[in-house]
Amino acid sequence: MTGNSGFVNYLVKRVLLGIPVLLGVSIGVFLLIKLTPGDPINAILPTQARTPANVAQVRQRLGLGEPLYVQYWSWLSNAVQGDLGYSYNRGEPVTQLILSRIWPTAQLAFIALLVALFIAIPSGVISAVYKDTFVDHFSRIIAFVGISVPAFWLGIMIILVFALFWKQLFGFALIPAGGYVPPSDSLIEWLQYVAAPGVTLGVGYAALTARMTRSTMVDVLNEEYIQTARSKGVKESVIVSIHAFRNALIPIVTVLGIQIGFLFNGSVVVEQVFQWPGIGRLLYQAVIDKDLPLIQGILLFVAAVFVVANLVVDLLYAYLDPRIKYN
Amino acid sequence: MTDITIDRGTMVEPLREKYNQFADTYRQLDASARISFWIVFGIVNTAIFAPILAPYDPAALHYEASLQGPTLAHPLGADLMGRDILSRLIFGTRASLAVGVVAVGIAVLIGVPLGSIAGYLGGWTDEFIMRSMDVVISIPALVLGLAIVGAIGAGLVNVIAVVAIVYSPQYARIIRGSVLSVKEEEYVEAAENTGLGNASILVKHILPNAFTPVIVQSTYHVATAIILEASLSFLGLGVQPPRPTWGMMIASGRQYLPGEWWISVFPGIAIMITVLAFNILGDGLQDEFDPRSETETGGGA
Repeated sequence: MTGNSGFVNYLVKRVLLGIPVLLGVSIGVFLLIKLTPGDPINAILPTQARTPANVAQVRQRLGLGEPLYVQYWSWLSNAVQGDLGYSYNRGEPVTQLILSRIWPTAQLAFIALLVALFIAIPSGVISAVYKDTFVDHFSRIIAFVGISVPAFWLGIMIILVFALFWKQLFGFALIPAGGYVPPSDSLIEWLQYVAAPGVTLGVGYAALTARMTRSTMVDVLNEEYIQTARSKGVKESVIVSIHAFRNALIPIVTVLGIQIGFLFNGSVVVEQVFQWPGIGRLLYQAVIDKDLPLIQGILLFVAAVFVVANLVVDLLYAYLDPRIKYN
Repeated sequence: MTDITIDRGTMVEPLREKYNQFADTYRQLDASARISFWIVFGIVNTAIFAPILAPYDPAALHYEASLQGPTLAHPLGADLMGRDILSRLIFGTRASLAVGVVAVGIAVLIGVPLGSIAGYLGGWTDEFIMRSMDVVISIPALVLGLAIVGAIGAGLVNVIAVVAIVYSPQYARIIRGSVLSVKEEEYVEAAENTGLGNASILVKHILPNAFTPVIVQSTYHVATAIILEASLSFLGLGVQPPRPTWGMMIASGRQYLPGEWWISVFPGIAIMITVLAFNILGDGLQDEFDPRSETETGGGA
């Protein structure tokens, strides 16, 4: 390892490795849509407008008569420049539709992250420190339940209890039964709307994080240097919070980053349940509408976010942990 | 536990060995994993014997019971058309397990050969296979599943295909890793020296040693696959009516909240118990086989 230049080399290599994956995704996504049964003309033109002249004109405009590789190439070169084509049903550019939905999904992810940071990590650490005691068993069972409960059902149950039943019992609803208010309009109202879907999304994420935190902390607490610190008479609280936790933090951060896919999965159903206008709901609507360019665009976008997140996590890992060799 | 004595016929011997292996594993599981094993056993049998266990035909309409809460006649209530929720839950185990078990089985059948070939041959073959797997992994399961179902259509067979495609890369990765580490072992080199072909070395010597992590991972995957199926069904893009599925039951009950809560509440509990049992069983098996391995817990959507 030669200091900085080693890291730069690693960075370049790692970025280059991400490119074939994204290219592969673009081919896969393109073929998936092309192989979809049914003529895209049917989705674009209403029945009454389907005159031979109109059909020929739309085919011409979309390049549908060209060979597949020509179509792929023109689609890809546009996509690289940020042009993902037009939505069939909404008449808006796909890129713009996606951009307008990122912010609401990011808000949910942020709340989910808070739940993971402030509930999951402390409970994972406590579990590891008091391994095999009642506290440990209890928090492990809670984490297991958190992983096993389907997010869409949990969301419905939260609405049922805190919006619907609450209103029947006390005359007012604790949370709204769904909908969206941007934080720029009213922070208080936003909090009321974002809390329930954010927590719903956060439960599974937090449960995974708690399990990872526990197992990492258990491993670290068994390391030799921790035993050495103990034998030197260092206070247990200092050992746990400083010696062990700081070292366990790297893999925990990694898991938080890698699980971004989990958040996307969750956002599809959670946004649907709470009528939250994010990426997940946009994808669902695109699938229902058979809006192929929009489906293509969202898949490509999600894959790009995933690849970049993995890249950032890897680089962070390499940067934080001097033991990692850049090769 | 009393030992079973069986005639030492040549056919029976391997079976008996398998049973003993199984019994050994079971004995070493902790209490929660043992309970989970019996819950899974119960759910599998519920699916098999659904017609005998269910009090009613799951599609039978009993209009007089429309939207009735839990009663003696309908212990978990009835939906708008008076269909018995308990019977629909019992038959719903079939869709969940069909997708969970069959799809994960197919994922194993796709992933294991790909991973073995990649690991064993190495070089460009390895690069090509594993980069393709990276492509599939780079799109989250439900997002990819939704897009594929959107393209090829909903229905039981398509959902099974989707789940199999989405999960197969994990097995390719696991098997490739195992193959790489086993390949260096002496007995494999010894087999190579005796002039056995590549394929037979793989099947006879490498795979049996690489299979434990696959069993553990597939237990977790059945759990996530059940949630994935339920999520697709909830969105109306999974297994189609009239086959009852838990996800669809939850979706159909939403409009009757809060008054007729039983339509949505009970199927969710069924999903949670089933998934929980598979997850805890997977965790127990993992502790048993390989306490330090890092297979992922089954988190779904």
